[in-house]
Amino acid sequence: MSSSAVDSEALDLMCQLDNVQGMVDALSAVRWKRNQDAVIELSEHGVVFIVEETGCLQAKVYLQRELFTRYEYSAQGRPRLGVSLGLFVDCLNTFSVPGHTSFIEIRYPGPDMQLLLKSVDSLDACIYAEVKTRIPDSISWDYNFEPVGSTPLTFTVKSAALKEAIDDLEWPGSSIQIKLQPDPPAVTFRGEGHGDLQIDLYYVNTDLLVAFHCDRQVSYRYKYKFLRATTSNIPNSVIKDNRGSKLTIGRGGMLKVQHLVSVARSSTLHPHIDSAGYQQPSRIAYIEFFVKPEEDEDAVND
Amino acid sequence: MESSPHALFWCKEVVVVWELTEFGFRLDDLDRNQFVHKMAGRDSTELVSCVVGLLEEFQGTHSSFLSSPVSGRVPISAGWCPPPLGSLKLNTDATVPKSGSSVVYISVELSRTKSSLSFPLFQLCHLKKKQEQGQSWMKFKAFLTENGVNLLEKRFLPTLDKMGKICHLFLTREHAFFLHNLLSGDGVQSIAQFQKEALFDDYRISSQNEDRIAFAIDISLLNRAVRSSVSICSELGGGGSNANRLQIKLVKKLPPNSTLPTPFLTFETKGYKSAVIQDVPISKPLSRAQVLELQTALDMAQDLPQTLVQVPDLNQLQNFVDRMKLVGDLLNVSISKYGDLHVQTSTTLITLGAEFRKLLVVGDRAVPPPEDQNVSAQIRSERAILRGDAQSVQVNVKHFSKSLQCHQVKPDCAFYGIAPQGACLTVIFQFFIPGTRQTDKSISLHCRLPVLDPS
Repeated sequence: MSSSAVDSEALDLMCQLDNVQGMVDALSAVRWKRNQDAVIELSEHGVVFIVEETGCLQAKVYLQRELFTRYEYSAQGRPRLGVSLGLFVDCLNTFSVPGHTSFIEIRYPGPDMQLLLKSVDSLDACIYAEVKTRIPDSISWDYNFEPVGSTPLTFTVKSAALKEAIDDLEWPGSSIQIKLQPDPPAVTFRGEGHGDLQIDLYYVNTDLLVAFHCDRQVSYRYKYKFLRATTSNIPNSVIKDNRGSKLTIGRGGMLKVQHLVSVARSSTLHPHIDSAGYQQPSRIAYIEFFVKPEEDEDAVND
Repeated sequence: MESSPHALFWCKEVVVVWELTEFGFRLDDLDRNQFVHKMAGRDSTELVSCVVGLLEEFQGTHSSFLSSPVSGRVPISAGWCPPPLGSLKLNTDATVPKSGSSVVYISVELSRTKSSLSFPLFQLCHLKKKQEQGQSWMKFKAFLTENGVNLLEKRFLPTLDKMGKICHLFLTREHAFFLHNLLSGDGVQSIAQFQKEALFDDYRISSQNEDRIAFAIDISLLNRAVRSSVSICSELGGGGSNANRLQIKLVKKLPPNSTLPTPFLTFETKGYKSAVIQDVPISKPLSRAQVLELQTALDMAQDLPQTLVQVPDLNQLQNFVDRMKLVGDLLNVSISKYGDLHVQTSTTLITLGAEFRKLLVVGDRAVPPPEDQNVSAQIRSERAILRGDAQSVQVNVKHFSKSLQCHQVKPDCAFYGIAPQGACLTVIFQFFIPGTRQTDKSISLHCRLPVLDPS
């Protein structure tokens, strides 16, 4: 790139993206507070954003290299850099022009280890940003998610329904029990506090529960505020696309929540994709939350 | 037979006379009553008895006036002829005593019935006092045209409201100005100027300060008054356009529970079946010195930047700047003679900017050096500044965003420029005569953004 003082050969990463709003949506989903730090991990497979809170909640956004129109990676190892997530999202948002497709280019590192962003869709108008990075904090606990037994304990629920259920559970108190039982196949969310509220999802049709795998009953408790963080900023596009969210309970009651966010270009620009009912499956950003259970879980497990 | 109040105040011919008097004496006008009766408001019935009392007093003293004139006072001529039957005659007379205070007598003679009625109506003993006050002579009265209503209600007032709740309305013989922050110094100055024909017809203004009147007014109240007047007009449905005219005038009234007369801008819509009067409170009109200060500030605000660049898409720029507000507070704006507009905000954590190139340049221009083509926006503007081909100022990003909101007045073009010596960032909105590419000189709007770091 002759337009910059940065020698392109010294770059760890140069990538281009044609749907900024999709990236803003995906990153907003893991932004549960105004000021949050994120660690960005670069690799030949793509870019991962990792956000963590008090050792009990971790979120990851996977932007695979297939999401980018161009992805040139030439670093050794996997560089990690720390940024302010809020600032990065606000900054990225300035590149998104409603009703336009915004092409951006992201490069790392700049002369002062910055992340460099610029719009590349017009010669005569250009938006650019330099985001300072810092050496990231080490990840405080190991999130290696291990399945329990041979069959995973998992269910897939419509994202909208999950969000609604978790929103409804707000009043009773700070602790929510999630119970899976094989017979009859059902998932129960139960909150106890000043009162109690129980939401049962039965696996009778695929309206709410899209998939369900459970060979024995398990039950764990999770802090409400962490559960809420997993759905509070779920992008509208996820709800609109009627997508499902997958929840899995792993060893020790670790809860994994996965959402899928579309980073495809807006369909109005490509009506032929829509009319064929076809969306590139690779144009999806994966979002994962890991929630640790509360310590004093019931003794019914494992 | 007619009742006295009718003969005096309500009969059509009489009303015409009241309307025509230089003194603007209208008995249905509460503030005038207040003036005549030394600020104690009276209703018409009370006024009638008062006038009849005056008449009796006059008749009782008339003979003594004739026989022994008071020193320095010229007696009222007794040689009046009754007007022809069925006509109405208005006589005025004035005496100027040595003390300097004028006494004006007005008499109305009615010959509608066989016996003519003749009496002095009121005395204007306040001439001198009024001159001292300097404000009481202010008169402003005009009709808002349909075009004027459209301009104000749909375009200018909602936009100007966002520039600041309070503005100065400055009226001169030829122009009406809406001025924001011209006297306060900080904040975005906005200057909206209309030729009187753009808004009004039958525009009448008089004051002892070269017919200039200025006062502060709450824009949202003003807009509400205009809007509801419009809805009444349209409710009453077309008819004759004259019937629904919206009159606007300056009045002084006694608000309820107050002894202090307060100035208002009154909107009067005379519909087909009903009339609506709305009073918008305004500040005390500005004194002569304040008006001078305002005029001086206005004159100073007219200096043009040497280089202006046209912003192609205000909506897009506003969108960008509104999001930028979340990232930083200060905005560096640089404008070059090559037609480059470069805005940038920078904090310890982030630098975020946008550059727009090859914009239309008005005023001083230069050809961009080819070696600048392939460098970054920051380097390009730094080089241009060093070369003296660009200027850069720092402004508050909120001010910049406010100035962009002016695109809601639907201008045809917008130009940004930096005033000489980097005194301020100026944005000028241009309006075309509908259906042409010619500038409509009867409307103008520009803003001046204060510069935070004049260097």
